[in-house]
Amino acid sequence: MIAVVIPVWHHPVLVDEAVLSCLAQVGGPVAEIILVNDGCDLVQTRQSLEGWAAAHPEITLLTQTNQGLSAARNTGIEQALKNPSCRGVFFLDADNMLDPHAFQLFEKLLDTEPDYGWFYPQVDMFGMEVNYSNGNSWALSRLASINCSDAGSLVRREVFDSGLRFDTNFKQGFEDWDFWLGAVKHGFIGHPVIESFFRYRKRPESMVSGANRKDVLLRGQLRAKHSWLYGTHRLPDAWNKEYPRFAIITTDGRIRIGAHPETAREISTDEFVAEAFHHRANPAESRFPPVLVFCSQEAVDAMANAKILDSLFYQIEGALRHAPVAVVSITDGPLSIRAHGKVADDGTRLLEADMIALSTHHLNAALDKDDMAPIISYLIEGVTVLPLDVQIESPTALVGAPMDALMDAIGALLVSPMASVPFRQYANWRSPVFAPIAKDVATCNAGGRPALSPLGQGPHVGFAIQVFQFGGVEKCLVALAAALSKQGITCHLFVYGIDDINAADWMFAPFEKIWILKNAALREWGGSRYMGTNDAEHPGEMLMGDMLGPLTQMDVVVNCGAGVLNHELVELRARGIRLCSWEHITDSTAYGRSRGTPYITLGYEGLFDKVLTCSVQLATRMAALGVPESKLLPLPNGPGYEGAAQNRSATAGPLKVGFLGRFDPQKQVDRFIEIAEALRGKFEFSICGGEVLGKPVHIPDWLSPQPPIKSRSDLDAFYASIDVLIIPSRDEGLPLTILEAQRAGVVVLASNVGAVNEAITDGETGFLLNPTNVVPEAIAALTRLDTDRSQLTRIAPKASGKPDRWRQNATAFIKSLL
Amino acid sequence: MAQKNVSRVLASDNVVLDRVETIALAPWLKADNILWEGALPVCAVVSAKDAATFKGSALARFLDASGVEVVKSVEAALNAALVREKNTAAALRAEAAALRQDYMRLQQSFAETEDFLNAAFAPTFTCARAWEPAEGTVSGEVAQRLPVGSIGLVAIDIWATGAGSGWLRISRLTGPDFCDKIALEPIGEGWVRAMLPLPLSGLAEDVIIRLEVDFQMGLSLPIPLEYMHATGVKAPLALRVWKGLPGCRIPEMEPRGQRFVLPASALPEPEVQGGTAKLMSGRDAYSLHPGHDGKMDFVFRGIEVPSAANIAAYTQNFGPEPVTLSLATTEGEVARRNMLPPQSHVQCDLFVTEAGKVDLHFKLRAASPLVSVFLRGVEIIPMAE
Repeated sequence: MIAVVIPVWHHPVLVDEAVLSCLAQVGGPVAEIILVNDGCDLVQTRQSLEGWAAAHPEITLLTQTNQGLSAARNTGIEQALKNPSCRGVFFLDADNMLDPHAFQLFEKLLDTEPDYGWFYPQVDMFGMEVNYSNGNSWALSRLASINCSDAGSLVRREVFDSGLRFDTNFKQGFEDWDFWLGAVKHGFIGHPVIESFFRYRKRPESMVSGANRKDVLLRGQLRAKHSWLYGTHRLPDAWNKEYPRFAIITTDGRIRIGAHPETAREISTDEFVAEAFHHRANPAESRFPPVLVFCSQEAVDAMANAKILDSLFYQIEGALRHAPVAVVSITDGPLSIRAHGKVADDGTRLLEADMIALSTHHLNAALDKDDMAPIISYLIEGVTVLPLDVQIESPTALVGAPMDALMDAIGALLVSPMASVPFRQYANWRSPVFAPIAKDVATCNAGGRPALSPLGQGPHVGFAIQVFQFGGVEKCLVALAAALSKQGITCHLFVYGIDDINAADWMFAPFEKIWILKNAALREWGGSRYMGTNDAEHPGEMLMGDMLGPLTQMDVVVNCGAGVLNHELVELRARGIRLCSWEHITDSTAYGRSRGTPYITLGYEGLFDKVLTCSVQLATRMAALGVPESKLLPLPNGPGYEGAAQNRSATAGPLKVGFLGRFDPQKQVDRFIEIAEALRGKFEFSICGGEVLGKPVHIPDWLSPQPPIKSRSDLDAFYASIDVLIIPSRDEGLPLTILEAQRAGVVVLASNVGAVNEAITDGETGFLLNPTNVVPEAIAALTRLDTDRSQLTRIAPKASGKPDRWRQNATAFIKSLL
Repeated sequence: MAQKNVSRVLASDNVVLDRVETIALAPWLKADNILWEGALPVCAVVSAKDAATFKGSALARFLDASGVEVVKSVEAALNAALVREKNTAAALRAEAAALRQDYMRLQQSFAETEDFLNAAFAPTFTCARAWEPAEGTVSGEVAQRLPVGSIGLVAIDIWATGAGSGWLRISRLTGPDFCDKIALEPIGEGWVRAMLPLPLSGLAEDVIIRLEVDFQMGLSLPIPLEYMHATGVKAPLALRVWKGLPGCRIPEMEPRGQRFVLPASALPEPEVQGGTAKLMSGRDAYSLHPGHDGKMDFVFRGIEVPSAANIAAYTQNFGPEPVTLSLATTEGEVARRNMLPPQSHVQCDLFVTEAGKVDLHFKLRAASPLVSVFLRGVEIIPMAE
């Protein structure tokens, strides 16, 4: 038997029709009709319900004090469950009706569809006549995006036996939506019934109309309660599984559809054609991907090897929001993905492209043409394309032309008999309920489209940075990531800026995936000023979403100076992601005023779980500026790359003195030149670096400056070529150069700024120079070292024998954050 | 039918009533939330001892407090009267509910009628969907879902490849058929019409057709929508689905295959000069808009006419201004002119003297470009031999 629960409040007349529709059933199981008078204050309601109950033994009347729709349904559920033979409960609101054959259908569903916990109707409305489809197939991501399961549903007893009831806190609406999500949480799934049996009386004043007005508030309540779905990867993962995002058609004839090129499901050409025409006929019900990518398998493999496959496909998908076609060119060079503005193309770019991406919408518009020639013309001639330039180191030769794959696919579609079918003739008579698209899921995913595939087990740490080259901050990041990897943590790199990535292969090794987003808006530091330092500007919702989307997969996000992210970090925090800022240095203005990202971090301090610093000194300073001590985690720098400590024997001949760093005011290369000029002839000087910021610096020809070093071996060679390194900087954090030079057996003379004194104990592991008297003190120290060479052999081993800082830092990081 | 006791009375412990079921009052005096199974008690008989507690209890608010003073001696009569009245009231409510539903259906039918009058073409029926025969046939027991709702469904044409007989049922997926089964008796290749006695009305429902025939039925082009495949094949049947006004019938096919309607969707794409002719698939009509000078010419080429016949084009002028529409089979011919008054349906006729393919040349003339004319289809009515 089944039960029909009819909660009644203020429908004393219309409830008669609801009851009558139950009593007028033809065939089907025995049913108990449970009327729950929810404390209705109308005498007519009481008279009506008591009359029905008196006249019909199958009707049970319950009356309670007014407690709302959820409580009334719950009362009915408890009554229904008293009967052990009750197999399911149907919820019929007092103003709705059932078709005469509904009970027959219920029995059939309960008997033949054992995998489903509940059965929900097509939304056939009367009064205000509208017919909506329920989607005709189950998809959790659809239910998460839209309440496609009306309360007028048949629910199996097992759902209630699991303890699930309607939540009485949802008094303004969406109590049914909440119930279905609860059922999913309890392990049940729903079944959309594809035939009419239920009639929803749509009146302009209906409760749902009110709920729509309160939509934002109620959705917030729903999402907060079901954070297991909306606040985790459950929803993006379900969406990726239920709605393929890409069709990847490779030049070797393979076709795959899925959310990720490496896990996409391979299908035959016939299946592809059928899916494509299904989409044309009934887009809301098809699962055909919205993006078609034509390329060689070698191109996919090359992107995977470079760890940017996810990032590239993510950007392709994003590009098709702006243009119907995106073209990718792959060239040799430093790692980069760069999207250009859209341009009109006469077909040349498509012919020369290494990858072509079309929106399915564009393909369908083309297929509206009659023949191959006009279709191809529409697809590729005079179309707006968005070019994406990809650079990877030494790309392999690509096999086959994507354009050929595109032509083959179009050919397969056109030779199909389905191509002649007037699909509009097959349009469903009910209005479609739309399939969830990226934007819908993004709303519940920190505003960003989800990443393309779930990550593996284990904690995941994302490092976000604006510039990734052969710099100190980058080397620290790489060193920490490498140390974390050794302790079982998976690290990911997010480069969100404008500059080319210019780093050696080993710097990418610790990362599982590399996400790149290149846009001028990501390097705009023209925002409002906090404590004298300008904040980054908000880059706009779409770009911000593209940054945050993939970050939602992380357990910990470390922001290493990607200032734009700070604006919306709250979205990540709301998902339980732990957030860190990693600070290295404050800079000085031309007038000596301190500034830099640490001040911006102070402005967003409330968002961060931890503030990492490159030194104890900077941690102390951040504490003094207002960061709670419990939030500070000093990770004192170690050498920026792995290497063995070097011991040197005493040197003969002129001492070799070097400078390594940028030629800018911070590094004070001028001071080094002054020292070199003063001691010219007595020592051998070498200088290595380049101009990056600030005014051009004149380096005397006799110093023969070497270009900036971008490899570990070149660094080792440079350190091996000198005995003494001078760091005359105006500002420093805890420079890796000191630590790396010390490990190489070089004695360091450094201006005592920043946290330099954490790396050098004056006279023990190097020499500290008074920052206001650097040149004379350096000349004096060099003169002493020249005359007493034993100091070199005494100091160097003490400096080189330090423990592995990065292993210790990784341990501290894990202990604090994971 | 078993009659439930409807006259239970709440009573204090020391109150004894002989002819009515009593329920102990005491437990309810302390209850905060009250959940009551069945009809509420007709009254509460409260002793002096319980009276004070009763007044302040949730029960007093839950019940109608005025019922407290029911006199013991009238309880039996009251009970009997109550039973009678409740039965009467229940029956009246059921009748009222049925009448309301009838009224709603009537309202709906009127609304549909008005919709058709405003939007459908003059013969009062329209081809809602059409799938032309392609390759392959099926026979025997075949079922297929239709992508249309039941409202207005009046006839279904099946493509037969030869003579035979059989039945067609128009059914719900679950539940009884919409009407009695309809006999099919094709006498040769062509469309055979299964016509309902009246268009279906009421609330829209899903429709499945079930056929049992001994002749071969043509299939249309294959489609990927499995739920719309005919049983056992990957294509739908070649069908034409007709909808009509409630209360109206569409013409019989007698002799079958000669008199027929070409709805707008079945006409070839027109060649247009000086305006636009857009096929509105949802309404199965061409929407005609002249150019800035109020003129447009358009021609449908290659219309097959089986014999000498009258050709009728069904048009509707939505605008406030009159429009002239002339029709001819040859370009430049002195055409037959038809005046389309504002807000009118007009049938524009033309006589063709022999069989073969003809081109239908239309000239639309209006005083301004701001007119809106629908061309809903062409009917070809062969002359008797």
